[in-house]
Amino acid sequence: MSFLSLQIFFPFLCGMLLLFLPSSKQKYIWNITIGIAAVTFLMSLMLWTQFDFLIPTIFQWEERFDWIQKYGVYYHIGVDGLGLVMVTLSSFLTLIALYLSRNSIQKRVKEFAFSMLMLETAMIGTFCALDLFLFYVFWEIVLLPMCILIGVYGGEKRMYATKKFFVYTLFGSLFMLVGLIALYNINMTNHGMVSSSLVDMTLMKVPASQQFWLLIAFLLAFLIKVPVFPFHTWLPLAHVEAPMAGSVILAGVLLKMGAYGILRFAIPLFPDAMIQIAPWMIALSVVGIVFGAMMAYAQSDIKKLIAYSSVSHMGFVTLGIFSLHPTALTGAMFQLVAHGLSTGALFLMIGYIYDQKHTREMSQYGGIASVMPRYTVIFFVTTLAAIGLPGLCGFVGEFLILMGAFQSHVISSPVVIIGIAVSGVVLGAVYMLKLFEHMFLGPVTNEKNQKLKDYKWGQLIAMGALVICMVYLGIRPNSLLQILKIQHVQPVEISVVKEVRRVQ
Amino acid sequence: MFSSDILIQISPYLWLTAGAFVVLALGLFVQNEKKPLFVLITCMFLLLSILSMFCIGDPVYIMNGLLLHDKFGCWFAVLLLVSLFVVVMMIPYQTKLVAEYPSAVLSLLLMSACGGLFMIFSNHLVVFFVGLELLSIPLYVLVGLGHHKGKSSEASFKYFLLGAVAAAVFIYGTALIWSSTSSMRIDELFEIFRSPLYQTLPKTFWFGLSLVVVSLLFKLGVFPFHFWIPDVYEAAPASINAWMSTASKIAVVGVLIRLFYMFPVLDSFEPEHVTSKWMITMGVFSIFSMMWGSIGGLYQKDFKRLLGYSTISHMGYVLMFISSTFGKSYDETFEVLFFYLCIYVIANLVMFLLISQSEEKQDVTVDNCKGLVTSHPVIALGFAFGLLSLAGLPPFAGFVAKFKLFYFVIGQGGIYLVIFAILSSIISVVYYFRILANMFLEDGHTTFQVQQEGRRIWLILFLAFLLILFGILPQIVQNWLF
Repeated sequence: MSFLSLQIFFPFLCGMLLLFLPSSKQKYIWNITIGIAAVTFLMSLMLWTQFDFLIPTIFQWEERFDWIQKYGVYYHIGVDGLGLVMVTLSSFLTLIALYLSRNSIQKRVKEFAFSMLMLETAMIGTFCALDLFLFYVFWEIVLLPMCILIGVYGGEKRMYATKKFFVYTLFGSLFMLVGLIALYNINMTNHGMVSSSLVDMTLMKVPASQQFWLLIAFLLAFLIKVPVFPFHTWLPLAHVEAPMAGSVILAGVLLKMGAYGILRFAIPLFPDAMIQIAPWMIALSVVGIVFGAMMAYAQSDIKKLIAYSSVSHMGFVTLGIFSLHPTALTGAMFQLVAHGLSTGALFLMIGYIYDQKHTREMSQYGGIASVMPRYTVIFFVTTLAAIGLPGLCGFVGEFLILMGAFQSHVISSPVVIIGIAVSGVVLGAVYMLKLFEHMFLGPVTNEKNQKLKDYKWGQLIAMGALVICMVYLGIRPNSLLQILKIQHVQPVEISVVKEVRRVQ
Repeated sequence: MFSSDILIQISPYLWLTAGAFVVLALGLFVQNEKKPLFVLITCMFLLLSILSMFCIGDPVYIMNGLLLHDKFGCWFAVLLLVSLFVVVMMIPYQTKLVAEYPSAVLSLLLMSACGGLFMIFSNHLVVFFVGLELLSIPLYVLVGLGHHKGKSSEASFKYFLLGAVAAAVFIYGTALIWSSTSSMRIDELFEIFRSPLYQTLPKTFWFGLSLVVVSLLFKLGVFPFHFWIPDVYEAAPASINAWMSTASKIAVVGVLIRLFYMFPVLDSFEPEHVTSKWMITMGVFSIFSMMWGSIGGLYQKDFKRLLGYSTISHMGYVLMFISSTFGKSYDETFEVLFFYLCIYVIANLVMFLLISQSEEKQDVTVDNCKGLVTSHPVIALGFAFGLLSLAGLPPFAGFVAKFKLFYFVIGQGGIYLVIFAILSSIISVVYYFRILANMFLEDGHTTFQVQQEGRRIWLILFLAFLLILFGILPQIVQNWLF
C-alpha cells in the first residue's frame, strides 16, 4: 500500500474507529476528528515535498493492481499536478470546516464527524482515481455522507433538498455508468481488450463517430455536478439547507469534481467529440455566467446569493474548459482552486453569523462592521477575491480564461462571447458589493446585532489561513500555474488546429 | 436395482423429504414449546442436503433422463438451500407462524425446497411441473399464516387461484408441445431446435412453448403477470416473504436460462427470425416490469408491499438479461446471473428477516421507521446495507451485480434496454431513499419493536456485511465459483 492509498483511506479508517467512542464525550470526539483532519492535511502537504515539479503532467505515486480481473478493472491511483492541488484543497477545506463547525453542531456529533471523514476519503479518492470504474465508485460514495450532512444537520426544508440533490446527481452519474459500459464494449470490439484504466483507455482511441453519444453520457454527470446552467436547480436548494460544513465542502470541492471529471476524463477520451460539442457548451456556460449573476443579484437570502454566484463562477470554469485552449484550460484549473477558497470562506463566514442570529436574510443585518471588525476585514478581502480584484486569486483564473477563450479556435465570434462573459464579472462586482454594503456598512439598524460576537483568535487563524492563500495565489499565481498542467492539452490543441484547417 | 451411485445423486432430495417427514412426525410427539428442537432438526437435514449437493460433479442424466445434474444447477440449488437455512435460523419463535404450528411450517418449508430442487434440475417438463407444484403449494399455505387474518387469507386465496391458473396454463402448454414434437424432455427439444427441423415446427408448438413461458413468468412475477406480488407480499408473514422472494425466483431463473438456451443463435438481427421475436417480447416485458416496479413503488406505505414492487423491477432486470441471452449457454451467462441472484437474495433476506423481527407487534410501514437509527442502530444499519445494495449504489454489491448485468446486455447490443433499466433505477432510488431518509435523517420516535434482541440479529448483520464485502471484492465470489 503506497502513501497515496494511505492518504485516501486514512480519514475513513480513523472515522470507523471513532464510531466506537461513546457519543457522550463530544469534546474528545471533536478533538480527535480535528486531529485526524489535520493529519490528513499534513499528509497532503507531504505529497508536495515529494512531488517532482519538473514533470507535473506525469502521474506520480502511481499504484496499480487488479481489482476485478475479468472486467479489466484496476485499483489504479496516482496524482499529477491537478490531482495534487485538488487533494490538498479538499483536505484543507475539510480541516477548516471541521474546526469552525465545532460550535455550531451540537447533536449527533459522532455521526457528523464520521460523515465528514468519509466524505474526505471519497473526495480524495475521486481526485486520485485513474481508473474509470474506481472513479465512479468514489464519485457515488460522495453522495451518501453529503446526504447525511444535509439531511440531518440542515435547515427546515432539508428533506426536500436532500432528495433533490441525491436524485439529481444520481440521475447524471447513472448515465455516466451507461457511457462507461458502452465505452468498455467499444474498446472490446475494436481492440479485443478490456480495461477501465484511464491510461489504457486513452491509448485505445474511440472512433470519432462513436464519441459523441459517449461524451453526452459522461457530460450529463459532470455538468449536473458543476452545475452548468439548465442543470443547476439543485444547487441553491442544497446550499441553503446544508449546514455550514456541508455548504463549504459542496461549494469548495464537490462542484469542482464535475469540472475535474471533464478535464481528466472527457478531454483525453473523446477529443473529437469535445470539439464538436464545445460551441454549445460555451453558449451554455456564458448563459450560466450571466444568469447566475442576475439571479444572485435578485436574492435577499445570503446563502442563496453565494450559491447563485457559484453558478456564475463555475460558468467561467466551463467556459475555460470548453475553449480547449491551453491558456484557458490552465485558467479554468486555477479558477477551481480560487473559487474553492473564496466561496468556501464566504460560506464559513455566513455559517458563523447564522449560528448567532439564525437568519440568512440580508435585511436583518446592517452596519455590523462596527460590531465585528475582524470578521468584516476577512469578509471584505474574500469579497474582493470573489469579485476578481487584481492581486487576489479570483483575478488570475478569470483573466486567463478570458484570454485563452479569446484565442480559442472553437469560438467563432470571441468578441461577443467574451463581451457577455465580462458583463458577468461586472455583475459579480455589483451583487457582491451590494451584499457587503447591506451587511456591513452604515449604522447598526437592528439592535440585536449589537450583541454579535467577533471571531476569536482560533477562528481568526483558521480564516486568516484562507485569506493568506487567496492573497498569495493572487500575487504569485505562478507557484500554482507551473504545476496546473494536464497531460492531454497538447493533443487536443493539435487536433483543434487540424479540425479548423480541414474546415477551411 | 438401485445402485449406490444413483442414491448419492438423489440424496439431496431424499434428505429434504426425510427431513420434512421427520419434523412433521416429531410434531406429534413433542410439545410445541420446544421450538429450538424443531429448528435444529430442520437445519440438520438442510445441512445434510447441502453437503450431499457437493457430490454432484460432472453433468449426468439420472432417472432415465428426467433430471439433469450439473454444476450450474448445483450452484442454484445450493443458493436455494442456504437461503432456506438462513430463513429457518432466523424465524422469530414468538411469531404465530412458529408458535402455533412449528412442525407443520418447517416441514412445509422443507417440502417446497425439495420442489425448488426438482425445478432447477428438471430435464423433463412433467418433472418440472411436479417441482413447480411442490414449491408452490406449501407457499399458498404459508402465505395464509400471516397475522392479519382476513388479509392473509385473501392473499393466500388470491395466490392460490392465480397460481392454479398458471399451473393449468403450464400443463396445457406442455400438452401442446408434446402433441407437436412427441417429446417433453428438454434435451430432446434442444436437439430439435438445433437441427433444421425447427423450421418445420407447427404453430401449436410455439403456442405451447409460450404458455409454458407465461406460467414461468407468472412465478417470476414480471409484467404482465405481476399483479399478485404486492398483495401477497403485504399479507404474508415476513419470514415467508423472505423464502418466497428467493426460492421461486432462483428456481424459475435457473430454468428460464435453460429453456432459452435452446433457441438458435442469432447471427444477424432479422426481425422475422423466431429468436428475435422472442427476444423482443421478453425485452418489452422486462422494460414494462422495470418501470412498473419502480413507478408503482413510489407511493407505497407498507414496507413489504414496497419491497414487492422492488422485486418486480429487479426481476425486470433479470428478464432483461435473459432476453439478451437467447442461444447462449450457461458458460457465458452463468457468472453474471448467479452473482446478481446471489446479491438479490442476500439483500432480500436481510430486508425481510429484519422486518420479521418486529412485524407482529406492529406493522412495519415506511413512516414508522422514522428515527430508527437512534433506537435500534444495528437494525438500521442492516436495513441501510440492504436498501443501498438493492438500489445499486457503490460500494455495495448491488452495484457490481448491476454493472455486470448491464455490461453483458450492452455487449449483446441491448443499449436501449439498459437505458430503460437506468431510468428505472433512478426512479426506484427515490423510494429506497425515502425509507433511508426516514430511518437516518428524520427525527422521530420509531414504533419498531424488536421482539427478540439477541445473537440472531448478528447473523443478519453478517449477511449485510457480505453485501459490502462482495461490493468491494467481487473477486471472492468469482474465484470461488470457477
